[in-house]
Order: sequence, then structure tokens, then C-alpha cells
Amino acid sequence: MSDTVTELGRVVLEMRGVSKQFPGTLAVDNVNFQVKAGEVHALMGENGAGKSTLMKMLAGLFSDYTGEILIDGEPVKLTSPMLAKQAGVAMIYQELSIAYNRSVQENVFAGQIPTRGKVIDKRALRDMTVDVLRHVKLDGKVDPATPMKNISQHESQLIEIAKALKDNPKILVMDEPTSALSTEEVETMFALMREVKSKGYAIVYISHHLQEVFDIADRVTVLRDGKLIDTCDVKDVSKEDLVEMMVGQKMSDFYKRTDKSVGDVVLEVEGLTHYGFVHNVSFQLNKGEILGLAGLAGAGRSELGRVIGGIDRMDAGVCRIGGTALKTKDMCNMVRHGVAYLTENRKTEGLNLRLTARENIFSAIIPKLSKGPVYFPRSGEAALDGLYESLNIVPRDKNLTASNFSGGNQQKVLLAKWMATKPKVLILDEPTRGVDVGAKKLIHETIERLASEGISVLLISSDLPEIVSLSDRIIVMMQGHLIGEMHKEDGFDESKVLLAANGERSVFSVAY
Amino acid sequence: MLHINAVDSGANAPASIKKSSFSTIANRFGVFLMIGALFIVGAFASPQFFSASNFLNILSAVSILGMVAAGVAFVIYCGKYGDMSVPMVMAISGVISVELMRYGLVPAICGAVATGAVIGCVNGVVIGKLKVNAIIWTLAMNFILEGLVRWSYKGEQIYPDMATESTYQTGFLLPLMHSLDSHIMEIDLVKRAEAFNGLAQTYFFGRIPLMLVVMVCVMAACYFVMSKTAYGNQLKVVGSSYDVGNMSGIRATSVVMGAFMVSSICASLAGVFITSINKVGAFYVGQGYDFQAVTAIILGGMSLAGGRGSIIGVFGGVFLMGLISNILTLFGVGTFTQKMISGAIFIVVVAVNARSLRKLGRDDA
Repeated sequence: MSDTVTELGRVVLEMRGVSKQFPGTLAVDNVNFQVKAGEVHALMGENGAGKSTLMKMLAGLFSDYTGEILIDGEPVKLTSPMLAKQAGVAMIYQELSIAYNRSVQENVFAGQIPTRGKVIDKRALRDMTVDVLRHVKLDGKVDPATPMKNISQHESQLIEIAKALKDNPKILVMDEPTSALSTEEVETMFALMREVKSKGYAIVYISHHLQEVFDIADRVTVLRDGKLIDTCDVKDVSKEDLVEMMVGQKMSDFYKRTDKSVGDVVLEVEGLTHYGFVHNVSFQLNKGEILGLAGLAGAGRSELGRVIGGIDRMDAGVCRIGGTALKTKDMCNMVRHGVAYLTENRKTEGLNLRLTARENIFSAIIPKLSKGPVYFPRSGEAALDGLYESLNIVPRDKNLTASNFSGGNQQKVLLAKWMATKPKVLILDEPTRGVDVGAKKLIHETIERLASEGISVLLISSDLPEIVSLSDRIIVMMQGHLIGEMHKEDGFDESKVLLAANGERSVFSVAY
Repeated sequence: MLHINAVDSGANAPASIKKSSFSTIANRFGVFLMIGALFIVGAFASPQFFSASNFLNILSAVSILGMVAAGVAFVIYCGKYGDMSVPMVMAISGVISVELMRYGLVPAICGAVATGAVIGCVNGVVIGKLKVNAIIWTLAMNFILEGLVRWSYKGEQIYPDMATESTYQTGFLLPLMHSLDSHIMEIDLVKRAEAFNGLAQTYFFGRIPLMLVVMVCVMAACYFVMSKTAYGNQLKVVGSSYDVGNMSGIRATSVVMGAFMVSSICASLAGVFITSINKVGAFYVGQGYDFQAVTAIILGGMSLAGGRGSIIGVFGGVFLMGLISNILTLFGVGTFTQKMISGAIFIVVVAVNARSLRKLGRDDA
């Protein structure tokens, strides 16, 4: 790979006044974007700001963009992925393109497998793969014949990078490469990126994590609503500056909490067990309370939420709403009794991406909008307007297909769907995962508002600042058991919650 | 500031929005464009093409198909690709109606529809609750029912106006009837058979066949159920994405079950009429209606992915099928050739649908 070294600091990629129109929106609006050899250039913006569209343009996924793209000073037309690849653009997507049942070597050389006559040349394939893996220092660690499904997320990510590097690209685009990695793995990734950039590759780095941008990037470009806001050196800006550029307003009191009274018990869970995931969990949720449910990944938080929401079965225990024990594993019944479970898997379990926003929001309340067997969607229109207004869903078009909304607005539509059921108990599973700063703020305000209106919220979140600032009380799960409870009046902060999630019992107000 | 490229549509921003809505219109009403085109072809084919009697001919020729397609449309709308048990549901409903005809027309029809409902219920439970692949299961069901009918009748067909001692040894309900009521041989079968066979020959105003009226009523009822009821809208949610439907507090399994019941009930109604046309109850009467129905439905703009399209489109698809066969006949194309052509249409339609399915897949990503 050393033969691709370009003179550091030279402009490798230049996009001049590029635009891309989608039906109803101008996703990228006259953007100028420059990347130099040997730099990590962070591309930031809220969801829907146009980052992904800009990068898809670079990857050759659109044939109808306008403006000029220059690579190494040469104007190029990137109208197909093939042309983009030839021009030296390599993409590493957020969702990896992996055939899980095939081996590492077959994935790396998919489409270019060496053959001897008509037969696959296994030895050559293996040697070539080891060569490629050397780029990312996995040559001794990963056997090229291992099926991809047995490779960890972290290593898959690295293999994907190796695969991109094998074609000697000039520009490497990484879309949220760290979203599924642990802290040490992120460090390894960054070390690799530093090495790669020192060899003269230009790296475009898309991320939502502010800290990562300061750790790895040399320059940063911020987009908002499809427009270029600014490009600057990372060392010249602060986090607050960046957030202001992204959101377009001052970051102030992100999490404000007004004291409010908490009422009687609404949801009572006793000895709830879902074999293998949740064991003998008991807690109470009061009217108008936001109860945080903390824990590490795999602690059984989502599983607990799903049992109460009526999706998974309850093997033992009782679940009472307002004193009456309910038949669980019947979501229809749970919804009717005022329990709403907002899933963490927005795209597969939450929203029907092919239906319109209206159909999605009404999908849980079809019986409520009907008289007898006849369905009257008009009768929900006023409530729908209210939800659109209070959640500021953009664009305002109710007939827009859900897949055409940005991630943040999809999440708002999903929240609106469950708010429309007028729940007594709202279970929110990672309500702001993968959502931009603006939408996150709005969702937080909405959660607070709902609680002050008397709805009880069970908040499952891995976002520590979120759970700490919103919750009135936090219960902590570990390995399927409820291990303790922390009260607001005793004071909790992010570090205490993290300690608690790791099993440190001294921080609890009440340890079980 | 708008920056629009001229390569694709050669138009400005509003036009590009228009273009997308044009393709929606083409998707939704494409079948009516095709019908319009065929009208022009038909005008060249024969001077008699544009006559009321020819149009009545076309419509009555597809009445049976229309009833079947309206029901199968529910199965496709809920994302289950098709109901392969339709041919035998038609056949078994037909023979049941011939058997029950001894007690009058109303019991005959009710019995047939009840049979359809039971089969649909079994299909629905297995596919909805046990999550068995719909095509495989209904295909298997079709074979089982075929075996059942042929075994019950010892391979014989059953004629409405004929019954001997030996007839009462075969069939589903005949032996039971015989043992309960020894005077059953004295029923004036010829008269009853006339009434039954007359079902297919009943006309309103001297020229509009009863079958056609029933087909239109079935279509109208299915349209109402699919578009205007809570059930129809839940079906849409479940059809577009089963998991999301299930996680919206909808009893998805019951919704799927309902779709298969509607399909079988419609097929059994069609079975009564086709038996009445043929004047014979036999295992083969419904052959080919499964694929023809799917063709008509997809021609009508319903997507195999589920949750898209409408009964109005299905009606268009059914009419288009009739129109094609009518025009081919007017051009003097034989039945066998017509079969090949309809097979080719099926392949093309499914291929086009598969293409748009793939596009959808990309939308969802």
C-alpha cells in the first residue's frame, strides 16, 4: 500500500457546488467540500443534514447530482459505484456488507476469487487474504477460512477496512465505524486510522460522537439542512461551537428538570421471570414518574420491557396495572390496558417503512378509530395534527412514506404512534438511539411533558446523561436480576450509574 | 436555490415530484391504461367488439375468476403470495353443494360456503399461528383435498340430476343423508337439478347474468372490507410488515387467518357457480384458477410484497384477463395458444413485480 503515498496536504477530493434533489427535498444544497491527502476529515451534522447523501454521491449512487467533483484535480463524473471505485473512492458503511455464512477470504475477495482453471485456487486465495489482512494487523489473528459469522463486530469492521484498502483507494469514507465498538476497540480503530492517513490516504469520517471527532479528526465540516455551514480545523473549535453549528442554536440546559409530584402506583411487577433473561424482578412504577432502567448490554433490560409490553412471554410472576393483574404475552390486551412499548429496533419492529406516516401513527389505534367494524381515519386527524405539532415532525407531510423521513423524524413518528394510544405506562427502549441532537432534545422534552401529564415512563437507555437527567428514580439490572435502586434525593450521576450497572452495590439507595 | 440536473427527467423540481406521482399512478392504474390500449386493438379486431353484448360476454366469462381473485387478493395483500388450495376448495364446495341440493338451493350454497370457511380456517390456523410457508401448505392442502374428493367418490363425478342406490354409498354427506332419511330416493331430483343448474343461467333484465351480479357484489364487499374497515387496515399494516404489525398491538395471527378464510369463502362461492355451469361436481372444476387469480391480482397493481394495491385494481386485472382472451378469440387464436399466452403473461407480470420488489428492498434499507 505504500505505493499510493500522495504528497501530504494536497487536495485529493474537491466537490464544487454539488446538489442533490429528492422528491420534496433538496438533500444537498450547493455544497463545497475539500479533503486533503493525509487528513481525517470529520463530516458532522444532525440526521437529515445531508451527510449520507453527500457521501452516497461520492460513492456513485446517484446519476442525477449537479455540480462538479474533482479527484486529484481531474473532473470526474461519479454516476455509478463502478466509476467511483475506479476514481479511488472506497466506502465503509455503517451497516457492513457481509455474507455471514461465507468465510473471511470469500468476503474479502467477493467477485474476484482467484481460480486455477474452473476451480477455486484456495491457497492463492488464502495467501492474498493474509496479505490484505496485514493492512489492519489481523494477519496472525484471523484465519481466512473462518466463517464471517464467527468474527466479532470489531474484527469485521477491520476486515471491511482491509477490503477497502486492497483496491488502493485515494479516499476512504467511514460512516459511523465506531457505533458498535467498545472503548478499547475504538482506540485500536483510531490507531489504525492514524497509520492509514500517515500513508497519504484521505479519510472522511462521519460520526455523531463529538469526543471522537476531537480525538481523531484534523478538520471538520458541518452540514445543516443540506447546506454547508463551515469547514474548520478541529483545534480551533470547541464542542459547544460544533453543537451550535449543527443545531443552529446555543446548547443550553440540555437536560432541565422541574420538580414535580409523583402519584400512586400504576404498574406493579412482582417476581417477573422470563427464563434465561429476566429472573424474579419486582418493582413499582408510580403515576407521573420517570423510572430509569439501567444496566449493561445483555443485562435483560429490553427483555424486561418486552415482557411487560406483552411481546415476550412471562414464565412466572404478576404484572398489575392499576391493581388488576393482566394476561401478558398479548400485546393487544396490554395496549388496551394502557401499556405502550416503544421498541429499540425502529426499522424492523417499530415503523412500517413502506407505509405513510399517518398509517404508521394510526397503526396501533385502528380499533379506537373505528365504529363497529368500520374504520374512520378522519376521526384521528385532529390528534394527528397535534402530535405533528408537538413533536415538530419534519416534513409536515402526513402522506410521506416513513422511509423518506430522516432517522430523527422516524423516531418522532414512532413516538407519536405510541403517544396516540394515550398510554398510562410508556416503556421507552433506547428512545434516542441514532437520533440527531435536535430530535434528541425534543424527545427528552416530550418525555418530561408526558410525565408531568401523569403518564408513567419506564426509560431503558444506555445513554448515561439521558437516563441520569430524566429519571426520578433508577433501577439497575445485572445478568437478569434487579440489583438495586437509586433515588434522586440521594443524588446520582453518570459515574454512579455506571458503577451500579457494573455491580457496585455501595452506590444504591436500596440494594436488593 | 434549486440545483437540478437535466440528465434524468429534463425538468425542474416540481416536475420531478410529479414524475414520482406519475409512476405511482402508473402502478396503481396501469391496468386501466392497458385496458384502454386493448380497446383500441379490439376495435381493429372486430366491428362487434364495441357492443354491449360483447362486453357482457367478457364480464360473464371472468365472473368466476373475479370471485376467486377478490378472495385471493386478501392473501396477497397480507403478504402471503397466494392460496394454492383454491382449485380444490372450489371443487369440494361444488360437490358439497350438489349433495345438499336435495334440501334446496339455500342449504346447498350455505353448505358450500361453510365448507370453504372451515378449510380457510384450517389454512389460517396453520399459516397464521404455526407460521408454515403459505405456498407449501396450501399446495399440500390442495393435494389432500383432491385425494379426499376422488377417494370419497371412488373416482366418479357427481351429476345433480342423477342418483342411484350406489350414488348414496359415496360422497361426503350422501351416505349420512341416506341413513337418516330412507325416503331420500323419492326426492324429485330432476326438478332440484334444474334449479341448481339454472343458477348459471339466471339473467336479470334478460341479459345480465346472476353470476356477474354476484361477482360484482363480492368485489364490492371485498373492497369495503379491505379499504373501509378496521380489519382491512390492520391487514395492510400486517401485510406490509408482519413484525411491525405484531408489535403494534394487532393480533397478526388472527389477521392472517382472516385473510385465508376470505379467500376460501370466495373460492367456495365460485365453486358453486362453476359446478352449476358444468352441471357436474368433480375434482377438476377449479383447475388453473389459482394462478389465473394471482395473475389478475398482480396485473391489477397489487404487490406480492403485501399491503399495496386495491380491489378496484383487482377488478381491472380480472377484466383485463377477460379482454385479452376475448380479443384473442376475435383474432381466431385457439384455446391452446391462449393458454400459452396467459402463461407468458403470468411470467412477465411476476418478473416485473419481482423487479419492483427488489426496488422496495432498497427503499427499506
